[in-house]
Amino acid sequence: MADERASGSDPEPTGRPVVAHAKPVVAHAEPVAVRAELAEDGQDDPERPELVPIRVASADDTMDLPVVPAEPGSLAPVRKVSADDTDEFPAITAQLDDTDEFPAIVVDEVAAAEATTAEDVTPAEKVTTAEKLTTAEEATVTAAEQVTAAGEPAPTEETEEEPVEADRIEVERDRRRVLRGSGLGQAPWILALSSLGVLLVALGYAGGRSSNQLATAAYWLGQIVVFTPVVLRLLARRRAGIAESFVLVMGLAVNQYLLKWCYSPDQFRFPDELQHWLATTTINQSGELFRPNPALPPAVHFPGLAEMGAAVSQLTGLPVTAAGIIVAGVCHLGLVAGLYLAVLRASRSPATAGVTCVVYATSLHYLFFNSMYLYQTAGLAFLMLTVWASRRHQAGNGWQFGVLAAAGILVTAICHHVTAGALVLTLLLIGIAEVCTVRPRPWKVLIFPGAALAVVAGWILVVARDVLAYLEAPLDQVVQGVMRFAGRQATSGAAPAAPLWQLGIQALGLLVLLGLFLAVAQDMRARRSRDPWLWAALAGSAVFFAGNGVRFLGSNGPEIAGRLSTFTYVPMSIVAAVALVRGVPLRRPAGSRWRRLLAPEPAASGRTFTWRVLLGAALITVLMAGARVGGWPPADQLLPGPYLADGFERAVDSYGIDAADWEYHTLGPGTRTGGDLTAIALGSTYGHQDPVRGVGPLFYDQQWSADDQTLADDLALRYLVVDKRLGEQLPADRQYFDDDPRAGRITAPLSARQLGKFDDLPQWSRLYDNGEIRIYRVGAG
Amino acid sequence: MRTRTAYVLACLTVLACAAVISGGRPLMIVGGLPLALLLPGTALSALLFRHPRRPIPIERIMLIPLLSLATLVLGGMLVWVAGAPLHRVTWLALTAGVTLAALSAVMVRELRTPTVPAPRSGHDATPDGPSEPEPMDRRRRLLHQVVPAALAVLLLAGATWLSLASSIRSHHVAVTTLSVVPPGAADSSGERSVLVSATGLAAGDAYRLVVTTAKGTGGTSVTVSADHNGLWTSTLRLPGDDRLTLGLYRTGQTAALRTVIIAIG
Repeated sequence: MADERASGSDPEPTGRPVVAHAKPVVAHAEPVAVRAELAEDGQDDPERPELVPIRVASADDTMDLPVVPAEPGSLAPVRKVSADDTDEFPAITAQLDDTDEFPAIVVDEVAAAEATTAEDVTPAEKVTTAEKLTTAEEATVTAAEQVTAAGEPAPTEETEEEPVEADRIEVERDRRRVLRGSGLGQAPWILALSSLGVLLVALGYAGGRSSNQLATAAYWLGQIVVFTPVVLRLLARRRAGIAESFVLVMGLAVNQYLLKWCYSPDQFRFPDELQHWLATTTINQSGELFRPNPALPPAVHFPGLAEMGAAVSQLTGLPVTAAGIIVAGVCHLGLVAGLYLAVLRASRSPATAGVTCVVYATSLHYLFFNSMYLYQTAGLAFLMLTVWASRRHQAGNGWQFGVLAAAGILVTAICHHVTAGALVLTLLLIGIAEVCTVRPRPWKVLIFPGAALAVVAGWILVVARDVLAYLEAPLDQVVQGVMRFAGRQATSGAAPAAPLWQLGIQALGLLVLLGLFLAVAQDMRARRSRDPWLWAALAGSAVFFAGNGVRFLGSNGPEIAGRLSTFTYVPMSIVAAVALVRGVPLRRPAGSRWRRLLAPEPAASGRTFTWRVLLGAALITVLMAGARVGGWPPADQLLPGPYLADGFERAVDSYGIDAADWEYHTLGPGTRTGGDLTAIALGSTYGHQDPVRGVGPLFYDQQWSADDQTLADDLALRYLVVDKRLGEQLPADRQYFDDDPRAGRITAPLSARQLGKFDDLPQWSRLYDNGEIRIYRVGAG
Repeated sequence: MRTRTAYVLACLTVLACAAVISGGRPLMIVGGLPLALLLPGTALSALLFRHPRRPIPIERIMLIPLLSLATLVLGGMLVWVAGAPLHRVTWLALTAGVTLAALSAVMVRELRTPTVPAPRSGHDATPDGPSEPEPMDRRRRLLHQVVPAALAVLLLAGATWLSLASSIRSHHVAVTTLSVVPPGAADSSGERSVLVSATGLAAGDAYRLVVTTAKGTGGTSVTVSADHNGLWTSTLRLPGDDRLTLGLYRTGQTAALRTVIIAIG
């Protein structure tokens, strides 16, 4: 069957030239039409084999379609297939001018027929239509009409041709198909089902707040319902067009953002969000940038997010919290859209782009940390915008993309230090991969990495020099951890071991990723692939695995590893998606056919394909579960609920907020105030206080001592916040205080004596009491 | 972008500005959100990319809000460097100014070298078929797109309402507090004025404030009458040469509900 399709030589229906590979064409899960349309300009491959027409089968009939040469699993640009409209979706996007529909790309991708021998494995590529279209409709969909013979000079944007009369007919037919919903496929229904999952998770959250026994079950069921149907659809519809996969991916991103929002819908509770709430509020109140932010001093010199929040708040009249939720949501969706488009441009496969996004949605901090109102959230969106724009610029798609990339670099540098650094490294990695794999060496691809390095280094050295000291501590910790590990010394303050079931889920996820990584690496090595983007993704994935080792280095190892994975998980997701969507050989036994893992091979009965889809979806769902238990919030705080001592979001309640408000209104901004982690988080933000950290020793002593007085004097402590509940619960995060001298070694809550001794100090005044929290003035004042 | 579209966008920008200036919250939201998140990006992308289909629509979907946000970041930085404060008028001038400037440039460019209009693919441009969707198209569209979209919106609305309601119910509890403003030193009479406040008092309950010395003597009782917000505030003249304990009691109870302590002044 496949051979028949591949060897046919029927005339091309529209009489336009059709190009294809001279050899039997690669069987790949990739829509040919999209591929042709996404072919980049100006990248002629000197090693490109001769192109000849092939016959392509549709569901009802056969017809010739443009098929481009490609390696299996390749992310390399397909050289010069489309010439009329090289990086557009010609017949498809035309309808978007007049309708609000998404393009109906219905050209299917199917896998190659397996070769009968090992030598026969030359990939074959064929295309079928996704829907049961009429013959006439089928003829309208393809990009064949848009394709000219390879080797034709690449048109510039200015010379781009408008659709001709014949295309108008096709456009109308496309429009009709869109009206029938074929463009979106089943995406609307899948997303409706996913939305049901959001409701289930919301029920779980509500149950958690009221300590309902079924809350956890509702949460997990909801998480699966939100996520897995989308994954299943993307894997099962590898022939889906851009419209369906993009809508699925963005719909999932919206739903998952709502999962984050539903956790704490009425206000920010995570300390870092509160810090940026303060930065935004400060701009609103003062009208100035670079004002001190005692809650997070380094954020002062990265005001991008705060500018966005302040502008939205000022223009809409909304509170900073609401404006922040909107801004964070837009940035988060921008990140997902940017990732989708960058991978789409690199792979020319909507399915690969879609699966990359859902795999990335299983990174540890995707659900919460990277969608919070944090400066990293803003930086990530512009990082991805820059990668996408630089890619398009280097493909010769126009100077405009260079402008976009430059703007993206600037905004990223202004938004977040680590993300800016990650942007430099990402561009550098891609550039080096291209220089190493492409001949003649395209040295100009190093322009953007160089520019990014100059901008980021300039910003940090000229404006934000203090961030160097801020980043020094975690780096030192990692270095010391490595040295201890190398010397096989016991690491004091190592992170506590998570429960076995959590470790099992996370280990399984890592093993799955490692298997996919090795399979892709082996496949590329066997094919001697020269795809720079895929090599860059492989290198980035190797860094991802190395970064996971950081979690064993010191008490903050898991946090650092998790934050690192925000960046390293991007290439890992691409590699995993390539393996899952396109299929790569795991091994090649002598004399046997290639074995493909999860390859979208057409099976006569469909059963094999179904099992592969189910297995792929199960694997990604396991990754998602691992991210939920290993990411944020911590596994024991997945549900909102009653107060937990120093439990981050769970520690923020009305008592703490009321105390912080009292500090602001009564003590005034900038007063030196100390307390436990939550008191510091709330006091330094809602209370506008100058936080005094490291007050743990004052609490741990049974009686007030001269050393305590000395410490209080050294810290210039004016007020102390004491939460009685520290005497009722162990700390949720192993420590009550910043720089807690007993971190990780606390076996019992603080005693009544430890917490009550401040009442006995004659020079101290207890000025505030709300039943749970007391605020003392230190000394006579 | 066609000139007519540019005019429409310019009008929308002016209307959005008017809505923001009006000061009414709903109007500000309706006008402010497009000004912050849509209009500058739309105008800038039209200025950058002349061809209506370049970049492709989903790329524009990403570009428009991100370019708008970039305008806020880079524009805000430039404005601040220029010495202007970042208040509402500034943001308004920045976003509207960028939008209108970009649209003006687009219009000038169109007037000089008009873009060849692309053939319409809409309902009125079909050379060989009906211009309106067929009844079957409408039904299928209803089934495949509108119904699930409406269902999704309903489910998400239910989820958000449920979360918001349960969060407010569980977190927004009345907190009863007793506090004093940090007192100053005693005056020549040996006394000092102390501003005492109590909040979160239940409307139906009666309270009293009892002031005792360190020795437990000299107790003074003050009736606490909360207003309709559950708030009570009073300035008391208290001795400055003794350590005082102020207890808030609910009438009929012997244990203090809240307690503050004032050291010797």
